[in-house]
Amino acid sequence: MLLLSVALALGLGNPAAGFAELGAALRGTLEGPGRTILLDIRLPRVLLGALVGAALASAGVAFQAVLRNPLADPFLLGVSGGALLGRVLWASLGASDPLDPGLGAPLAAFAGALATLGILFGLTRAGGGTRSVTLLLVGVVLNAFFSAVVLFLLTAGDTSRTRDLFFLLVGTLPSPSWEVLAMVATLVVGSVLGLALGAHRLNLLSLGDETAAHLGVRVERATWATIAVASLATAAAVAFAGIIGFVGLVVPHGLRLVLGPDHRRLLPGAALGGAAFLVLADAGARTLLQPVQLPVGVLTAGIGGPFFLVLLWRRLRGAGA
Amino acid sequence: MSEALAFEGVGFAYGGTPVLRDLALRVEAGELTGLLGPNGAGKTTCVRLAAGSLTPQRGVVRLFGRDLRAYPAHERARAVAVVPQESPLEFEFRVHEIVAMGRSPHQGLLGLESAEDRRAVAEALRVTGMAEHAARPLAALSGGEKQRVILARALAQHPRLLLLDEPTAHLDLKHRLAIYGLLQRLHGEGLTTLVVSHDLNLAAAHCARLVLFRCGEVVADGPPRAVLRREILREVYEVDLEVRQDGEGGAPFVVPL
Repeated sequence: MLLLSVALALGLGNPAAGFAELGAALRGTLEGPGRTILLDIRLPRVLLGALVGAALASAGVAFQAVLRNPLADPFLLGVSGGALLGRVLWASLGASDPLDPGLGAPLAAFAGALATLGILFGLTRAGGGTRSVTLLLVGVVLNAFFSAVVLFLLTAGDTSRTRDLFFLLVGTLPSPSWEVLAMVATLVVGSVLGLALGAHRLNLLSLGDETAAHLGVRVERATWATIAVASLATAAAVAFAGIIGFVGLVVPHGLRLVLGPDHRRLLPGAALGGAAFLVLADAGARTLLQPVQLPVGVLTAGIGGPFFLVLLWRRLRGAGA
Repeated sequence: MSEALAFEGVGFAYGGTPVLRDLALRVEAGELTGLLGPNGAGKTTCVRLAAGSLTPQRGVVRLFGRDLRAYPAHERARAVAVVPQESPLEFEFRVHEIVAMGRSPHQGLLGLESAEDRRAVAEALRVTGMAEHAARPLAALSGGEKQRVILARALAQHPRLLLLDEPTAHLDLKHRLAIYGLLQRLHGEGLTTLVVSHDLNLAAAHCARLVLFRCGEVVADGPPRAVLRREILREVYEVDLEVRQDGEGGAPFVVPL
């Protein structure tokens, strides 16, 4: 499924590449401008899309488990926004190249994501449980605040350093260098593996803190470890592709219907499914309105927004609230 | 007899409100004990202290001769299992998945299932009569069936001490009797059990020992006949009532007037 969507996404675009060209590229016999477009521009973008999709979908699953809220998503919680703020702050302090392969950008984004989660937990857990509406409300407010600060930095700050970062606000997949790709791959694959290896603990945490403790989980430690790893995945995605919303909501929800809620299946499933989803979404964003290339964030929000409203509506109706 | 659970001089307060003062209670291995008392008397706090969910502010809680605080989380979960009043569930797990989670404290870092784990889960499902429902989502079951699943998960833990906090609070009579019948069978197999109950008569009929709480203190402790006495209950529950008894060996039962 993932391989198929990667092949499809490689073929789609202007100019379109046929099976013959893909086959030639695989055999290493493709030459000329076709080769440049396919292998040096399109392939890195498709691979980045796969990594970002995998990161956001598995982070969504992890946040949903520890917050016991199937509506949690890195974007809706404000975590992506916090990561972006960290990322932009870092850029305004010096590193100007948006596709600089250094670790600074993702680490700054990681710090922003963690700080956001600190606020989120502080506010919503003080009162006991994490009520879904409160959580989402806090996420919305954090998002609005973070994007205001980001816009301020991008317009009023040292714009020579930050003007190339506007694309991060809407969520766009650039064509990164192989160095950037290798770093993002290391961060994302590492965090997804980490989450997958702890997936049985996510099952227990999703039952509630007290029950998880009765079943032998060191709840504080497991919760924060999960949050840190999921934030790292989110940060790696946001640092280079900006804010792409709803992937962490739509993909886990769809896969739960097929694979069930067991995180040992769901988490790897969401990583692969998220990768395929974003690769296809980006292919769609590139080709639907040719020659205009939509940012992929527009497409995922266009799908995810209504999807979220339907979920919320069903949930509120079910709870009778 | 050997000691399973002991509270020694235990004090606990939520905020500034003391819930337990200087509690001393000892449960022997193999006992089936009912904890009774009005709301706010400290029964649930007692269970949460014994489960390690709370840490005593004064005194010590000992589990099988060892301070509960000295247990690592995994080891504690192999020693004591808890059945709460309600178990809200956010995700649609199936019955066998819920029960299998009870094996977690016996598994390693990666949570891999062994043949022993599968045997324990099958046995817990069989004992609780839930084997035929194993593949159903928990959300599709009735309240009584759900509670049996949670009990099955607790049994899959292979605990040495089973704690139940008003396990039948939301159940109808048939399911109450089913749960207590099950507790009695497990008692017959030697499992040490502590059950909090608001149903004096069910507890009296099934538990050999009752402990009556009032305002964080034990006011009566012993066999049902010694605890369920009119003058004690009237004072503790602040209602007028009568205690009747059928025959010589029968359990007493309480009738509010």
